[in-house]
Amino acid sequence: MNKKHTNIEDKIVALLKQGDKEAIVLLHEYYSPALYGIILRIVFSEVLAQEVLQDVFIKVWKNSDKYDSDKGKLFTWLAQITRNASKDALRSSRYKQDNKTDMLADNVGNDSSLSHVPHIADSGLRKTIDSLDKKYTEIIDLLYFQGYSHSEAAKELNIPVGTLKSRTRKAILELRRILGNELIITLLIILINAN
Amino acid sequence: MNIKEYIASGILEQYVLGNLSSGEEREVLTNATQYPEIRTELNAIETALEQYTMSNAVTPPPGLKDDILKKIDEISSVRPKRENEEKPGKSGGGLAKLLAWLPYILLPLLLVSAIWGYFGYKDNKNTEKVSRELGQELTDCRVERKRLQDKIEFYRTAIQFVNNENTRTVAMNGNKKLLGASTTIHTNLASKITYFAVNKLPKPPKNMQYQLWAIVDNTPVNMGVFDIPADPIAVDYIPNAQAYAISLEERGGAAEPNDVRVFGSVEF
Repeated sequence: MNKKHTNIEDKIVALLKQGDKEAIVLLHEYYSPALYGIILRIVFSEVLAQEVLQDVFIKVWKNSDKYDSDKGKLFTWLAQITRNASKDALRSSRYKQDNKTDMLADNVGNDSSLSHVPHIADSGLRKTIDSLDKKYTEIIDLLYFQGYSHSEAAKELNIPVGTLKSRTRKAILELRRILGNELIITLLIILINAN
Repeated sequence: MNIKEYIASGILEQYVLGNLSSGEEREVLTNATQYPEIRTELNAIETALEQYTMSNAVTPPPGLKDDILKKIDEISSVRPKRENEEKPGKSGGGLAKLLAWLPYILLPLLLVSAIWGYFGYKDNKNTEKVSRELGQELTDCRVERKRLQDKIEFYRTAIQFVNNENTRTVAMNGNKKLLGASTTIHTNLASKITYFAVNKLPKPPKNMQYQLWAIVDNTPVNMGVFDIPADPIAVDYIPNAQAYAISLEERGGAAEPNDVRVFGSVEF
């Protein structure tokens, strides 16, 4: 039960370490929808989101030597970079907006060829996740998708930081339960017991 | 260190969410290297959040991939490109003349292509839509493939856990008071991880709860009360347990088992 890596992850990591551009092609193929989903949750503008996604890939490429599989899964690292890049972009676009009020508003979704309807990639999984209590999704969304710090999220939800931390754990446990990883173990155990 | 308490503190979730200081991060990493159950827990948290993100995936617009690759190319080879660009300027003479004529050659071409483009516009829009839809479908397939790969990987891990030479399985069966009940304990002696799975157990009466016990040298060790879990749950690892039992207790549990209903001995 040690390190859990899918083969594709290993392959991408190896290519990244060698500085092979094929890594970016594969990263784009496997992870860009998930990362784009995170970005859109933070910046809300497709034009800006596309810039951020490019920025994320460049950061990944430039910092590929910094990824350490002992520290966590590739996706966790990618998600962290994505959240940070999105927050930075949002901050600087807000800054620009303060100075030049039409900046964002004019760019958001006016060009119909650029804006396409955000599409949820896996409706089956989505349905499963929809059964998660709202109390829990809002916490995961704030911390994971919108990159809030614990104190920011606690303020937003108007609860003490301690409560937020324990609720975060409950939320992820609940998510794990719903995603049914452990359900598979049950099936296995039943199968094995039956033999 | 009490590993269960450490895991329950929520520090691992904060680690994956990137909310820890670098000192705290180092501490988590050291612990994960030292204790396999912490590593397992970290993996489970990461996988859950990854799957959650996948469920919120949105396909980026088609041309973006090329833009990204172009940018990567640019930053990977900044110098050679600049040298190439400087060359035409230096060679002057005939080339400069040709360059001066370029607008006159290009203008008609531009006009033709603009007209062409205008009539092609509608068709293009349609093709664009179709290609976007196809792109989305392809992404869906890839996301689904990734999910299935993860699932397979999980199956493999679960099979490895159950089949591991250090994993002992204890089948627990209901006694006369609870005929047909069946639960299982899987203990890995090397990683010191214990899973408890309910296969068949009736709902307890109102205000009552089941309580799990390990028996060590004829003494029951409390492993906690539980409401019937749909999935296996990680429970305390009790070294040298000779048997496991489930008793029916008043809600909240008891210090000693009062009414044992399910029992299973460890086979040596």
